[in-house]
Amino acid sequence: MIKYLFVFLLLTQLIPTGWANTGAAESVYVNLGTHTEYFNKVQTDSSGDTRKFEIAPTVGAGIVINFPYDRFKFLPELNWVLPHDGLNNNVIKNLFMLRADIGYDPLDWLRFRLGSSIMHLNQHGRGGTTKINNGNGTSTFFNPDENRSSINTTFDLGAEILFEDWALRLQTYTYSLFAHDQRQLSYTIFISYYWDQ
Amino acid sequence: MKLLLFVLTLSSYSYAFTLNNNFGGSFKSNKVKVQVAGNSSCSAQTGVTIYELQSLVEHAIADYWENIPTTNLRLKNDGFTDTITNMYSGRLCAPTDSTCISTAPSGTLIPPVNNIVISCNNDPVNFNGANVFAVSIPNNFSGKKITGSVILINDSSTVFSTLNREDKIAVLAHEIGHAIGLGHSKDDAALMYYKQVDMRRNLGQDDIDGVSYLYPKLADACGLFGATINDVTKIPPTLAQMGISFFMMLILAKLFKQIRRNLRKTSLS
Repeated sequence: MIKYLFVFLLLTQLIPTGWANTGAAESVYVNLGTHTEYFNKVQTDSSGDTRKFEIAPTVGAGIVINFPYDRFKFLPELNWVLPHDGLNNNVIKNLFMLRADIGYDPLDWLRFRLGSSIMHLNQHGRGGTTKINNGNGTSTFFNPDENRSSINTTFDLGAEILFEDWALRLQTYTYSLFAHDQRQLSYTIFISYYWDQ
Repeated sequence: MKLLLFVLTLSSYSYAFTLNNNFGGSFKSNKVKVQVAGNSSCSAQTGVTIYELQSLVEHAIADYWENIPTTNLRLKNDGFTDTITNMYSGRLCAPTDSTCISTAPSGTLIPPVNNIVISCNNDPVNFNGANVFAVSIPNNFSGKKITGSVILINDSSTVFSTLNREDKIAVLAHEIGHAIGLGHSKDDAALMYYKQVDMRRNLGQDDIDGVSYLYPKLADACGLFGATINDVTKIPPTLAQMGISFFMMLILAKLFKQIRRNLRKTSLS
């Protein structure tokens, strides 16, 4: 039963495209934020600390589409966690989030979001080699040289505080909701700017 | 643009994962068995028996490599194998390392294996120093595809026995990382950092990125439940996936049209 509920949630990403074509779009918005991947599960230093917050610039845009029901919205959006060159400049990593929420506005200034994302993680290797310590000497290790992607679907919850044209949002993404060993929680803090129709 | 560049400089990313130093390859299948050589043994020097080694392997898989949602890799602790010879006292060479092969005493070479096989080993030449905990080499591969890797625990010195249980698990997890195709990282937060650190309990970002690169995951529409498609580079998208992509593109087209219209409105007003 629960599985069907989430398949339904996924389908809601597709169905309201028709509504958008009927001119029911209320506003469009752009996002600027910072994305933290795998909350508290990634080691960040040699003393065993784990990552709670990360500055990973994220940009995006979305549409607010009116539902036939008052206070409910349909909110498709696309976000992009910007790439950043690494220690060796040998891999470029992009994370694209194609996502959609059903929004509920219990108050004029508050919006809850329930939805799902298709997370497209792309890594592009530049090839070459890197010399790194290995045991008591050094060795030459290969750098990635191909373009590869992982695609995941996530279960998302969010809360948004609305101020006139601006909004502040905490958006969470749960990977592998029903596979507990792989379940991970990521989140983004967004500032959004809305243009009303 | 200046703001964007400023924000980029604030980023805390570090990408430095590398691939194995023999060749940049990975296992052909995403399902890899991990076995302990049951016909081998471990002396008191290592501080473990082969049964304890098997328990450590189980934790190394469960505590580290099973927790990544963006990879298709599935390691299976597959108990013991009794068929591999020379595991305790033999010489471990990569098939492409002619110097290693030619200098190995006759009849001592560890034969090519299937999957990942772990054993204690008392040949000091394999470890390049008494302070090296363990080594791992894919010793059975073709092109960029690994068929089998060997992990040897240093039984020529007491160095492995100086570790506590958690660190032994971390060392085994590190060697499994090599066995599946990862190289070292320059980031000391990564499990694949070249030396032991004060406290190791989780993977670092480099490890996650590395294994996601080697064994990427392509979830279907029900990916919430962990459904996967093997070897994403070789299987064409299903009709359902193409349908989803088509509808998503429709949404995107609408989105960009709206943004363009609004930007035009803003510039006119």
